[in-house]
Amino acid sequence: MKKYIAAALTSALVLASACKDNPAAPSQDRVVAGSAQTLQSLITGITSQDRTNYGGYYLWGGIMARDAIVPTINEQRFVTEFYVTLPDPSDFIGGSQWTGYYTLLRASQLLLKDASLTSMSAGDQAATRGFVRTTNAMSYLRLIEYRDVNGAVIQGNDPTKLDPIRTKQAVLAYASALLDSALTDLTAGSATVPFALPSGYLLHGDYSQTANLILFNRALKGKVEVQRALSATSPNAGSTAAALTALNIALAGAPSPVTQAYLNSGPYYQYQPASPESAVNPLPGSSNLVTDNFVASVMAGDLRGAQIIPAAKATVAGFTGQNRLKSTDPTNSSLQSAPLPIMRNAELFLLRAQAEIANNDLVSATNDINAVHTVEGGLPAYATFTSSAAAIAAVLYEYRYSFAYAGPQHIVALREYGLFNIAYVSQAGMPSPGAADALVQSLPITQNEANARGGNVTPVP
Amino acid sequence: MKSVTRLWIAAVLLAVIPSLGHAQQTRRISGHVTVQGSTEPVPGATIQVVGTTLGGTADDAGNFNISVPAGAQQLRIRRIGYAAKLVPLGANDQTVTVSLARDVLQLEAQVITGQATTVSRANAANAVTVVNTEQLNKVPQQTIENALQGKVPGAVITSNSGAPGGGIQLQLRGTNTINGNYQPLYVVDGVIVDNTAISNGLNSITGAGGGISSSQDQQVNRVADLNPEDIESIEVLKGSSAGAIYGSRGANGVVIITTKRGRAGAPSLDLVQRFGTSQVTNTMKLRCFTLAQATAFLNAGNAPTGFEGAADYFAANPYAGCTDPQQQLYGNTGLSYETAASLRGGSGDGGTTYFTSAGVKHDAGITSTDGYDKQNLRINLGQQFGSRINLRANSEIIHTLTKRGISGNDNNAINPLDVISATPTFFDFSRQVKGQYQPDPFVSSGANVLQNQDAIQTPENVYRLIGSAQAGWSVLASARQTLDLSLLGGVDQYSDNARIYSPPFTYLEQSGIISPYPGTVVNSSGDVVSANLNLNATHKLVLSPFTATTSAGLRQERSSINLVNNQGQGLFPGITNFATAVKTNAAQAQANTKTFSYYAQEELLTANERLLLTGAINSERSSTNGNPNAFYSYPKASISYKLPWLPPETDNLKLRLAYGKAGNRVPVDYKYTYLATQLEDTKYGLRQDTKIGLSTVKPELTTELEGGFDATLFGGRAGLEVTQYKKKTTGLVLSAGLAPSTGFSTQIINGGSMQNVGTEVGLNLVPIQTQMFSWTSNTTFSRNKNTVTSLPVPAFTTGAGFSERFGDYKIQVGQSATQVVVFSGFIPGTKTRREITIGDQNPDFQMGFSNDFTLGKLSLSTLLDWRKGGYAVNLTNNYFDANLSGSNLADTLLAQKRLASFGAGNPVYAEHASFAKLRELTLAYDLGESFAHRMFGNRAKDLRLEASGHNLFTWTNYTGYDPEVSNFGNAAIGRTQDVTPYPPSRQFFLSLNATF
Repeated sequence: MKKYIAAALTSALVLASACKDNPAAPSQDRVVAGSAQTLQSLITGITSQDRTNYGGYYLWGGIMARDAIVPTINEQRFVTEFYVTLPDPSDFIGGSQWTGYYTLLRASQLLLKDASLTSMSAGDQAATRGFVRTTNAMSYLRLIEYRDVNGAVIQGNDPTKLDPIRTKQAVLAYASALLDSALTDLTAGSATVPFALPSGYLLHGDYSQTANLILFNRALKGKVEVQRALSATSPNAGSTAAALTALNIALAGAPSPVTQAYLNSGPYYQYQPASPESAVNPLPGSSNLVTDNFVASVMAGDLRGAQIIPAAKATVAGFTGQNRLKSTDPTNSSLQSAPLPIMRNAELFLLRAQAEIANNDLVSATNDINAVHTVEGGLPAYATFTSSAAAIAAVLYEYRYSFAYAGPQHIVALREYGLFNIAYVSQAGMPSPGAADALVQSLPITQNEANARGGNVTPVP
Repeated sequence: MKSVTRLWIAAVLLAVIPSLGHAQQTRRISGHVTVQGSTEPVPGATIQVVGTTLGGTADDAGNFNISVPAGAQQLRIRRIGYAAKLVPLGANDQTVTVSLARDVLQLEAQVITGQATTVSRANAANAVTVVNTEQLNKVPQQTIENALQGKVPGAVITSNSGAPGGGIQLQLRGTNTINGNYQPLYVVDGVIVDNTAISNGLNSITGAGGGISSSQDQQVNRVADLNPEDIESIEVLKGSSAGAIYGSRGANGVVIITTKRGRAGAPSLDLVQRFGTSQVTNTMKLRCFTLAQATAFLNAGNAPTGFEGAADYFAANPYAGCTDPQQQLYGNTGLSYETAASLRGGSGDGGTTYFTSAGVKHDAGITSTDGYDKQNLRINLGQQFGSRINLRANSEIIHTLTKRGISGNDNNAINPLDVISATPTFFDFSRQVKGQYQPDPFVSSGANVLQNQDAIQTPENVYRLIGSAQAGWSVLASARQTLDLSLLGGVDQYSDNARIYSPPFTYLEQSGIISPYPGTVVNSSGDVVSANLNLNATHKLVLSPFTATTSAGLRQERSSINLVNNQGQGLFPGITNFATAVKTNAAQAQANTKTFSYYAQEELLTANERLLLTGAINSERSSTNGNPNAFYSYPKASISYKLPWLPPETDNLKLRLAYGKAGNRVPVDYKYTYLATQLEDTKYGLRQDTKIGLSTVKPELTTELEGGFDATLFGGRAGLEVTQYKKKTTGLVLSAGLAPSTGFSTQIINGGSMQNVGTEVGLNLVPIQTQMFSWTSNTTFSRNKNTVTSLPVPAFTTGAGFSERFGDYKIQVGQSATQVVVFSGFIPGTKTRREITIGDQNPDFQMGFSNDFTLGKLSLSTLLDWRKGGYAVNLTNNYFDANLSGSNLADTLLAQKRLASFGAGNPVYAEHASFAKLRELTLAYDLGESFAHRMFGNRAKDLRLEASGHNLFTWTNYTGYDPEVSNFGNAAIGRTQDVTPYPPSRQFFLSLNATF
């Protein structure tokens, strides 16, 4: 097997195969290795793959947390795989949020070896490496957010080698180190990255500037460290402090009072529905609904509640949805090209609040929670929390309503605090995920990955 | 190439030089061939002087005139459909009259042994199934695959769905491949015809997969275009020992189709007029809600959006009673008809022959908007120039129009059965207010299945030309030897234009479920060209101890496919031009292939024509191989021997053994590792493709050993054919799964092997044969066992399936490549998956029972097809079980129990797919010549009235619509996924056949 992969990689790098018998396929021999055009194409290959990976990332976490429900009559597995049985590692749910990240990581490795990189100035090389490694760290973070204790593979340099499945803590530690390495690169890098980033990176802040990429890098670092610190099974000492350090850098420019514009700051995915790109914002969907309990639990006066609109009632396997978010309305054509955040500052405030709760700094935690609660929710500020439990409940609420259909933030926080049995998760008609069964709280190792390992998917430290 | 040319020259010289010493004196004799027991002539009978190459062909009146050597001779008279006969010819005889008995056991059919050679079936070393025109057309058939069902031992024939117009695939002697082509090669009059299945873009509105089109578009394999009425015979070479002559396209078998030809004699006109209809065979058993039950159902929290409860609901939607929406949709019994005419004849001296046919056919679907239309025109011409040169030109122009509607997998609530599964039967889809269908409140899109049926159009037009020209030159023709050269060029070209149009006004389109821009159109076009050029030389040397036939030749093939899909979303009502749409998308796929091969073959018929020895080698290169210049060789050898010492009651007993290798062409693209392209913000992004190609990839190689015996018993009243084969395929071209964490998903490798071991039995009986009454019975049996014998990679799942949750296919050493496995959850408290092997996609065995009864002028034909075993994955049940919690099925409790069991990890949706089907039933009455005269004048020769039916009854325990349909017909593995298919139907026809 090794020789096949090695040969293929060589051909991918040299880009020398012609394909006369398939004119529709890309003609590799027209790509010049080492050119600026090649670098741009390889960068775009990574960012567009990252955008592709967001499909699924935004959705599964919401279903697992019982906030979202997708009762489509044509594909009951959106409901049954989460509520009736366990995710099948071989299907489009249990097998998702895995392959695409490793595709991106391998593409990154090829770029970092490409002559187009080494032929640039040292500053440009560093800026490029810093961007690519930051993106890579985010992929590892997203992998582990969905796989949790099932672990993930840290991809090595040699694609012919089957790298072991590593524990959650090992993967997060690797991501943390990767982000620090990227920070070093970005700090040494040119003021502007030597390639054009997608326009979503310029919408809410100019992330072609390495100074802003450093903020993004620290934001991710803070998220990684919070997850390391709050691991239910093996919390990492020192991560709380590391998280606060990183997040303080990321939020250093926060205005006072915090504005919605600042909360929205961050890099975004941009969509272009027209041909030939044909990339459509994935949220709008006829069956992309929210649960009744999600609707019932929203606080009176919460501006986010106004984003909930009625939808045609749909029931699958006994589970019903009859409301949706405006952002998932399939009849609103303007949504097709609406940008979606890769990561925005609102999340950083909640992450910092989590770190502060862990430090028992409830004053700071309350302030950070209020930054989201008052601006995005339009609600009166909380008084300083007097207990960690109350602060945690407030954090969970903000994740639930500010990040609905935006990723697994809510389910990750529930998992960190072991709060699967709180009322809105174990609501009537929906079985509790069951705190004892980790598989329901996360996705399994995919079947192809398991097959290649003879079925052994036990993670190693 | 120089060495090849030298070989040719040497072969010609070797053949010609010895002929100089064999000149003999000859004389002319004439004769007449009739059917035994009557004065009816046997046109087209071949007459051969035994021990020589001399002979001729009887004209339309059964007359012949041939040269024979001086002295007493023996003549062998043959004609397909009649038993061969040896007739002594005295030294001074000038005329001879021969009567031939009908060959109900088909012992005398000629079967292909090489690219330019045939042999009598009585001597054949392979079990070649021959299906003649009578067997093929006992019942009117839409496609030739339909017509072959139940008639070819070893063939598993599966259809995508019951939709009109084809979509049927044939697989011979099991699965030889995992990722390659699994269907046989089709050759029509020497032309290799394309059998590509082209997507029509249905995916744009079903959303079954990604992109504009997908493999789930219920595609039609284009061999469906061929007209069964024009076919004289079909020979099915089932394995690589026979298919070796077709090199890298022979491993899956070869279907060789010979169309009808003209013959000397007065013009003969055949007219056929048919009328018929179709009727749905099977539907789901839905629940009938009484008003009280419906009220209770709605008041139990099941009222749809916008309705408070039953009273509110029924105020707006009157109770519909017990109307089955399946009958509203699929209850159409529209008129089908077919008019066919053929004219056949030739000049009296046989210099010019012609066969021309024309037909118009319409098959009504079981919905009011679906159907299949075909028009075809064929002209086959033959011209003899002197005694040495002949030319043949065959051409057929075909137009088909299929409207197949919407069936199979979908994700947009557009398949009518999906909607029905989620809509209680008390909702009346047919109710109209102010001429408008009402929205279905039980589905989020509001889609009304009858509105969709009326509004959505799925026409697919195919214009096809299949033509060939063949020149034959008899370089040498003496009493002892002949040398013939032939050059054949053939082209198969077609244009496939499909349109999917979903107008903007439907509830479905307005709901935004397809896109936020109401109105969808996909205009698809496929241009396919396949051409081949064959050059053959055949030398025949007839000496008293043996007849040696030496042949050699070259073949060149070219093919190109260009598929374009243009999609428009957001249309003005009535406009179907995609370019006017608010949003447009396009896709294109192209592929070109080139193949060159040469071969040499030697046949030796000896031991008083009891022993036939054959050896051949075919060498071929193809542009799809990693090295396009490398030749791969496919040898074959066979022996057959007719025993001289026979057991009691045995007329003939032949033992046969055949060995051969054939390949399976590498799919286009497998040798390349591409860069994947991803556009973002008008910039071209590149990354490594997740598939790793193999630059050294070569064809899969299937080696087959086939042996058996053929016996004729009881004075020709019984024939028994028993065949055992073992095939081993090595160097499998695998798209093997990789650990995705490497950054790659699949890699192409040549590795691993599998074997197929099988048995085929044919028993032909004539239990009764009297002047008044006869009964002929043909029974076929076949079974095949597949085993993966080695794999260079860990076991992996593959094929077309939806997941192991329902039933998927796992490639695993020691198991069948088509095994169906089910994931039944994790062992509690662990990460260990429970995987259950349920059974096999393919049946344990198949049997066909064909019986023909004739009582005077009345005849009855039946064909029963029995498939035992095999598993289908019935997702249709899953739809009905999960939607409305099973309340829409008549047996609601069973549905709920099944879904609960599924939730507990049990494989409830993988079902036994055994069935028996009454494929064909025909009752015919021959009205006779005198009646024909009275009706149409003295030119009329015969008039026949037939009542026939196809797929009349099905006996099965399978709980879905049809156990032999598949959502993924065009995959070697994964052919038994049942996802809300187009329901099966039976057809009835009344036919009048007249001959002038």
